[in-house]
Amino acid sequence: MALFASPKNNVSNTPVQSGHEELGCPAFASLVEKMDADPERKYHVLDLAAASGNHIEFFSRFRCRYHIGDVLQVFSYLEPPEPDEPAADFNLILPLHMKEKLDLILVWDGLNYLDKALLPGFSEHLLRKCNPGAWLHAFVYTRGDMPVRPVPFDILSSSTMRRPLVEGGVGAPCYPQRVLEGLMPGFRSVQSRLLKNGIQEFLFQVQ
Amino acid sequence: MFDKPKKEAEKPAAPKAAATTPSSKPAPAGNSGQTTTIGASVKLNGELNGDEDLLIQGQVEGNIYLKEHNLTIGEQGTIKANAFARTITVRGTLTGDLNGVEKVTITSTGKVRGNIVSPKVILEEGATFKGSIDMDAKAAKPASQPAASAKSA
Repeated sequence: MALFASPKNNVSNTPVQSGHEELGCPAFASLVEKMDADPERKYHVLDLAAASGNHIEFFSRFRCRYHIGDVLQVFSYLEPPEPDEPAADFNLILPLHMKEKLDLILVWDGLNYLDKALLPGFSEHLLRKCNPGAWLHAFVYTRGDMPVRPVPFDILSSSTMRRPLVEGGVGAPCYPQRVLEGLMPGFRSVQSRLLKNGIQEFLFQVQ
Repeated sequence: MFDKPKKEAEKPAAPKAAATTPSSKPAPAGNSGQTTTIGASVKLNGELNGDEDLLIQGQVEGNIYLKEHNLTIGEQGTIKANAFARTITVRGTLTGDLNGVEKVTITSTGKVRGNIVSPKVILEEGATFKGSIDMDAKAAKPASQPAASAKSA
C-alpha cells in the first residue's frame, strides 16, 4: 500500500478558504454535559486533529490529559490497500504509547477521509486503547462533496462549532450510520443528528 | 507518540555559570527580578538549577529546574530537556517534557514535542505541538528535584 500516495483526484494541497460556517452540535453538547456531571473524574482525551489552542482551552475546563494525534491530514493521503498488499499499519500512522486508556476520541471529519477498507483496522487500533464506555465524536459529510483535506473545527461553545468553508471539493463517501457501525465493530452510535448543512454528527460509544 | 524523550545515561557536568550573561532584556512573563540569558552561541549539556528567571537563546541538553521562576526559550533556542518552572514560554524549539506550575505558553514561533503538565496551557495560532497535555492542576509538581550540586543558571 502506498502510505503517502499522491493527493486524491490530483487536487491542490492548499484549500482556498472562503469564510466560516457555524454548525450546531447537539451530540457534542450532550457529551460535554456528561463530562461536566462528573467534575472529579480525570478524562483521557485523544484529539486526532493538529494541536489547536481553541480545543485545548475548551477542554481545560475538565481535569484531563489531552493527547494530540495530529493525524487527520495523513488520513487524506492514505490509499486503500491493493489485494496483494498488507493493510495500513495504524501502529505506525498513529502510535498510541500512552499509559492510560482513553475516555474520548475526537475524530471531527477524519472518518470521511478513510477508505472503507481502512476503517476496521482504524477502529480496532483505537479500541485497544479505549476504556469501556469511551466516546468517539465525529462528523460525516452526507451531501456528496467534502473539502479536499480535513478542515479544523473550532469550538465556539459546547453546542456550537465553526469550520472554514473551502472552495473545491472531492466526493465524500457519505457513510450511512449502519455502514459505519459495520465498519467500526466495537463502536455503537449512541447519538446521531443530521445537521442543517448536511453534516451528520455522530457520538459513538465503546460497547 | 507521546514517549518521554530518552534520558541520556550519563550527562557531563553543566558548564560554569560563566557561560551565561546577565541580560538587560526582561523576560516577557511574570518577571519580578533578574533575568539570566544563555546566549545564542552557548551550548550547555547538563543540569540547570536556578533561583532567577532564565532566557535561553542557545542550545541546552539536560534538565532545567527553576523552582518558582520563569523560563523562556527564545526564538533561537533549541532545547532537548525536561523543564520545571513557575511559567514556561516557548518561542523556539523544544523536545522534552514541560512542567509549569502556573502556565505554559507556546507562541506562534514555538515548536514543542513532548508532554506538558500545567493547569494552564496556551497555544498560540501557528504554534507546533505534538504530545500530550495534563491539565490537572493537582498534577503540576516536580517529579524529582536534582541534587544541590547542579549548576546555577
